Amino acid sequence: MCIRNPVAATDVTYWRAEPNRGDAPGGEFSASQPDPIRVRFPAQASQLAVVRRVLTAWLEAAGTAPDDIAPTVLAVSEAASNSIEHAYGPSEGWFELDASLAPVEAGRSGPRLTVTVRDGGRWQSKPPGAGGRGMGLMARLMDEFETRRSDRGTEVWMSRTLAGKEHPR
Amino acid sequence: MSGSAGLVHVAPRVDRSVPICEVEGEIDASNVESVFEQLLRSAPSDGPGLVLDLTRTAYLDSAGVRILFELARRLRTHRQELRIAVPGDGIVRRVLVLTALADVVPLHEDAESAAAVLRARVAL
Repeated sequence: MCIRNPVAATDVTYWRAEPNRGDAPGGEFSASQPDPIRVRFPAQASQLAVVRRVLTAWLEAAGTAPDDIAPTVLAVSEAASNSIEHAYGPSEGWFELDASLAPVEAGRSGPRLTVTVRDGGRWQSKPPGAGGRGMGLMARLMDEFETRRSDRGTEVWMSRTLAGKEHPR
Repeated sequence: MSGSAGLVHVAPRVDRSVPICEVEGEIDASNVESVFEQLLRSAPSDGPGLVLDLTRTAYLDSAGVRILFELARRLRTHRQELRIAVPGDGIVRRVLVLTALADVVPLHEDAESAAAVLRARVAL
């Protein structure tokens, strides 16, 4: 996976990675194996809809089933919402979305989607009862969910095995 | 384009004495406070309650769920009921179930059946 410097949301670029052509059995899925994306957004609530549009377009281009798109987009938008709401004080900040799709692995029904939402802010604790709902949704809507906090910021990592629609059986 | 304007449209109406508020579009942190204010305005001060029609709501996350819990709570203090119309196969209903809003607010497949229940309460 080759990722260069991130760009602003107004200048969306789809990164070209080393192609995975031919990795999937029979090569059927490879036609829709998309390049990974990394997009950086200003930490503003108005960007949440942009995040959803960008991710939806990328997932659709990969031939992802609507049943996989809706929960994934929701989980990512929740994570972005947390970055906007909790990661920064009055100062301006950013958050970044990474998304990549790995070819179908042995023992999995479809390709594995990995998404990461990271910010450069210090985690600020939420008022009691306010935050758990979003975290719970992310954990339940995705197969795997992990929050990593460090001095450099917070990173929410999630993965999901997509329906193997491109691969009957 | 400056963000969230146009992302959501809140349309209140009254159907045979039952107030129904339809939310079309997407509710997220960018517009949730504005949606909440509009929902509160559409809630009557008396009567059986309010039907919230989410059948044309494409997106609703935990920010939206928070105001729905609050709306239901405020209606209850007036002995009124919130009922939500939301199709059974969509992500919005899934969110309402996963966040347990569905444990405190009845969900209906469509606004008409939700309104019928509230209308029946008036008749009692």
